[in-house]
Amino acid sequence: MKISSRILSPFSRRSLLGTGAATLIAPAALAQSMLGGGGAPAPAAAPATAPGNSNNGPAINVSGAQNAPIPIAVSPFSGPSGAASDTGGRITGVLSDDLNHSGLFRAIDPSSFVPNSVVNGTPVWQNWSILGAQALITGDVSDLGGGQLRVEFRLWNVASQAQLQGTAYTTTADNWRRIAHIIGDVVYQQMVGEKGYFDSRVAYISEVGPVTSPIRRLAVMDYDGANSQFLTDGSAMALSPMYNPTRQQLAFVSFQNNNPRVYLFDLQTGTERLVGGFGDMTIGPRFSPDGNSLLMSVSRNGGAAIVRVSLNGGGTTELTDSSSINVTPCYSPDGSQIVFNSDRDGNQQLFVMNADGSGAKRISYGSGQYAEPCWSPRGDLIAYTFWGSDVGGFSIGVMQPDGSGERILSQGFLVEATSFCPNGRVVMFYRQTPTASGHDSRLVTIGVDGFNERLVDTPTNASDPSWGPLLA
Amino acid sequence: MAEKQPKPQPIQAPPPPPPPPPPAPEQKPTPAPPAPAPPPPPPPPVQTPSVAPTPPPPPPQPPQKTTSTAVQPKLPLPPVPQPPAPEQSPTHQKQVTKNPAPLSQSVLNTLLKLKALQKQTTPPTAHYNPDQGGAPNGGGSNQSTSNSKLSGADRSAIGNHVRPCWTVDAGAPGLSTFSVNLMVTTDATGTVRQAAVAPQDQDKLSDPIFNAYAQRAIEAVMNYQCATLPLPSYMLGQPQTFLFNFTPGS
Repeated sequence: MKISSRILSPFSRRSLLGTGAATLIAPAALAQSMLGGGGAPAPAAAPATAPGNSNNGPAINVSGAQNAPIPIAVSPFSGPSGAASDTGGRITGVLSDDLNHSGLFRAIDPSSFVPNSVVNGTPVWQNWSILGAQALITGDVSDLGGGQLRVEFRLWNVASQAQLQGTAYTTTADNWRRIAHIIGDVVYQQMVGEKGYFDSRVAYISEVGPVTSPIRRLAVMDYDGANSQFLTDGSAMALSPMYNPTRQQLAFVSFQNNNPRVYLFDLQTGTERLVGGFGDMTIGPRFSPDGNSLLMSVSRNGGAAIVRVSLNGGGTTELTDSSSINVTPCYSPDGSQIVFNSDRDGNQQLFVMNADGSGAKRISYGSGQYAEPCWSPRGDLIAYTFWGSDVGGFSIGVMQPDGSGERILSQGFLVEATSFCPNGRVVMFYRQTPTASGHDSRLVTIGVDGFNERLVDTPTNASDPSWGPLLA
Repeated sequence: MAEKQPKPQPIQAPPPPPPPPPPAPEQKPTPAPPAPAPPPPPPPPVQTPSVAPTPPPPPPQPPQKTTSTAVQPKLPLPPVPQPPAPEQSPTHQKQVTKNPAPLSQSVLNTLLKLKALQKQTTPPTAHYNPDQGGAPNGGGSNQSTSNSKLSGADRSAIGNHVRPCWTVDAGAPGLSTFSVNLMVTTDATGTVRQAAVAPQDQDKLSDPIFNAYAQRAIEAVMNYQCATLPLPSYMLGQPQTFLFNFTPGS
């Protein structure tokens, strides 16, 4: 749980909750309405759309599209001479998982593949079109010796029987998983038109031990939960990690010397340095889009002010006063605005202000409380945590930066700490559920359209995810 | 409801935990003995891209930037396997075409005989004339379609037939504003054989997200489940070209 949450709500948030979720908007219904519904009949006659050519008659209008993933076949990457390859099988497994994870692709079950459907590197088209595949990925893996691996892949359009992409990579053999993620991102960009997010990492807080005295450590992992590594030894509690959007660096809150302060952690060198050494305590760090400064809250006089701390020796600038509790700031992707959480109007709500601290304006007005806003890298949405007396639990939601278009993405006993993937399509958060021995805390991803919620496999209980930038 | 939150109080930091048993990354949720936090491994060194094995017919792609992985230029298409030679059946006999008019004195027949005897050793030289003229304001259109032959009910039936195959990416930015026109050509049976973005929308294809949207429209109309259009019977028997408009909403 984030430290800011504890400050604002030292008692259990559950006590604030009521029952019923009648006011919540079902994600599925929203998505359907956005697309105009799948069952509405087409207009009998659409207006002519061929400019300047009315003699051709009106166009045939096709509307009411369904939100559906692209069926794609991932043929197991072969070894030399077309033989089966263990590494090739592992790469295609991770690649298929990546594509399925996005919700934008549906990897076709390999057990349905017709044998020998790729001959001399060329697909036997009818064997793939009969499966309904729109796209096909083929590839092979070869050992270059000296611990080097060469992975070659091709992306094909099945309908046009054309190669869309063909690329080869060389790397160390133990880097095979990253190759799979990079290929996934290439496929994503080719088929979706946006950059992918598979070749990225996530910082989080690992929690082990008894509920009364848990050991919380800073950790980092691949976006899919693989290659998890602990960065601190647990001797001082770590909370609220934040990934620098431009470099391999984290900010986090450490309780070293029983004094909560914001520190930087360099992922290249493994070194830490204190950057929030002022006030009673400093919490809730968040990087600027250029990665050169940090926003954080400093507690004093019973309140909390938002300050900007330059990481290049530019000093500290106070953006709000501390007459109320102002916490969890987050920049817009262009750096011109900041969304934050404040109780200045009586309870916790979301506000947007200019980057210099001027023009603060409230954007949330629901009958509950809002916290931990996070601005999408795309700039079009702000994710937040919500709870209120008329909602049966906590919720993760998104709204537009002006506060309109509120949508609830997921709910639970405790869900909070949202973080967007690099292209803004997916939100990661953590879900805590009570168990007989304490609680279970898991990281979860969900699309911003409210579909495709998935658990992320972590070696321990996990919370406070922060999604880093693309590594490539 | 709007319950006033208590002012923040400094949190009493928990005492440093005893040397905790940190689980190895592979371990499952069970707490394990801690070990000093391992520093993150430095990213693997960037490797120099190697050269693609064969000269690429398509222009090589610029290498992708990665920190740990070397990327090679775009790969050429793999060699197309040669189709197997047709096997002759045991009953195969040479088909000798007889001169249909051996005694004919017709000039045309003579020319035909000479042409048949001439070995075709060079490819034909006829080709499309890009500088061809024509009436500057003549009739016709390069977007000529058969849409005007369809009634409103026909168009509705065809649109309803294709709709089940029409899918979009609901999370695509700007989706609600997208609309793409396709020129769709059917064969004599009414089955779609070709679909391409209409000239008026070609300039939008530079937007990769619109491009992906248009590609889905093409996939919809080419999908074997939807490709045989319910054309009126009087339009069957010859190829037809239609203008389609695909929008995400109703």
